Amino acid sequence: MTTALIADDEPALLEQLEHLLSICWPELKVVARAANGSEAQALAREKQPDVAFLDIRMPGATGLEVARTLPEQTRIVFVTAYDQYAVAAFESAAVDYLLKPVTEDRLSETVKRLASSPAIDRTELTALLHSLTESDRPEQSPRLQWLRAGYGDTTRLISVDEAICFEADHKYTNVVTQDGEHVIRTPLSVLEEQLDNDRFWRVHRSYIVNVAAVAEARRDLRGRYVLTLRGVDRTIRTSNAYSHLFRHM
Amino acid sequence: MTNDAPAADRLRRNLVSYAYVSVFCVGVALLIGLLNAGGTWMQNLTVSFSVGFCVNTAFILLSDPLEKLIGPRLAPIPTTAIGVVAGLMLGAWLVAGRPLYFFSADDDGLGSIVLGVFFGVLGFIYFSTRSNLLSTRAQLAEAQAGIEREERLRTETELRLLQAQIEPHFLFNTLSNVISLIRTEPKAAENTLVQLTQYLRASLKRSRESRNTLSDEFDLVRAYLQIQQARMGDRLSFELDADSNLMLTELPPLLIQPLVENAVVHGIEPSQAGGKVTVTATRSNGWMQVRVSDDGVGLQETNGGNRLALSNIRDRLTSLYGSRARLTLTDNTPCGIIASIDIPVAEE
Repeated sequence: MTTALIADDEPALLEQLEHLLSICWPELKVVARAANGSEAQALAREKQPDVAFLDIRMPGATGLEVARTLPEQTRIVFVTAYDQYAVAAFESAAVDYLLKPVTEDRLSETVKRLASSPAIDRTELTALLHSLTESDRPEQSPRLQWLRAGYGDTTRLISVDEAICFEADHKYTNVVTQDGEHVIRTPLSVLEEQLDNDRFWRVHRSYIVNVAAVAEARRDLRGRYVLTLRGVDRTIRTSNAYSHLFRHM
Repeated sequence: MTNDAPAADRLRRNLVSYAYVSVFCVGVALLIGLLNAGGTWMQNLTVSFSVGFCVNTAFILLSDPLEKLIGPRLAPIPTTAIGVVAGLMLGAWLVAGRPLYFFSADDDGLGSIVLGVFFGVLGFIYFSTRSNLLSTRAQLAEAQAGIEREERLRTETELRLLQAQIEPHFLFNTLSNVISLIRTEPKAAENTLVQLTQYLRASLKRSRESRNTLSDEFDLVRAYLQIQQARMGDRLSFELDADSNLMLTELPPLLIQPLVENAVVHGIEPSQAGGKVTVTATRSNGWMQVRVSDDGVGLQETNGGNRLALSNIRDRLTSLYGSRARLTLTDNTPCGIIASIDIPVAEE
């Protein structure tokens, strides 16, 4: 008998899928129902199902991440909402997928295909999943997006987009935003490595500026630049070493 | 700092006006000397400066009260007169030791009268020009304010367009759920459809009306949360609470809803255990604070979250309230995020 695992974090959708499967594929036995990704991984290890129907957006682990850990013999069908980027990729790699809401007709087709075609090459699928999960996280060391500034017993979260400039202050750093200055515990040099260097420029030993917040760069007689910043009453003088950054502005 | 800026600006303007007057007075003293109206260079210069500075001072001190009293057109006349008389007296005192010298029979030359009239006329021209300039500046400032208003209106229109676009992912998910529920729980399916209808109606209404109250916003948020609850089952719970006297307070649309959406999509949905979203609105001392908190997964330092929605809210607060409103994000304890918006509101 063919066994199946179904996984979806929305209970109504999980139940509906099971119902439709009972109509389209009466011989199939659903042996595991998972409400999130990590549960799906654990149940797959335990039950070794022949087929897995995986929702893509799930807490714990995404359907794509679950697929990468499934046993070799398990056939995979992804279930996805309308805009999920992966659809085109699945199509090209001949991976089975279902669009939500799942309909009886469409599910019957998938069942037919599962029964007639041999399993697709697992290495191909692995490569695809690898590229998809990687494109989910484009960078190896993701860029800093949020800064945490302590205020007594609360911690304020500041988006890096809000930062107009960063100013070194001994071991700490002042984050200058439109609504004031916030002290964070990360030194400027460490911050420089973590920030997106296309958007944040180290223009001085003591300053990193948000390029988007630079209103004007004026050159002085010694070839350094005086930066006028948007949103705060402040100018910053670049060091000679960093002046080349503005030459083409 | 903002309070000092106009005062510092005024001081700077006044000092500049004295500088202009000084140049002017030197010119006048030279002219009178050349006309040989009587008196030494030094005396001419002294009287010239006395009159010039007195007229300028009179304008700085008396313009505003006199303009209020007799209007901006007539005000320069008495101001100039007072300045000229005071200046002639000061000059006479400095030159001859007698303040009333120019007004007495001892004044033998026509020079002083010519001088006085000359100054009076020039002062009048200078200061009426100056007051025209000031009113032109005022007009300019008004025009700029008009442009700003227009910009604000445009932002609001764009916003309405934005609202008209209902997030497709949300719509598809909701409809998928309704379809699934029809067979097993027809009552729940019906409820979800009713809530979706309410949500769509509220969204459309907001895209057509500019008046939006906290109560409207809460209706929308409630419908949104109920729909999400139908999807996520017991993984999502929520609580809405506002001071009852705040319900009719006007506030810009689409400030709270995106925060609630963030809390659900980026806070609760990724959490296996789920969690609770709490929305509160409180008032104190002319401020309204709306807090949207969740006990979901919170923000990782490198996790995007929905920064776009947040920066949109921030931009809109700035365009509507300047620096008087703010959006603050803090960590919730033990986990999750608190987003608070502070907006100035009229006292009752």
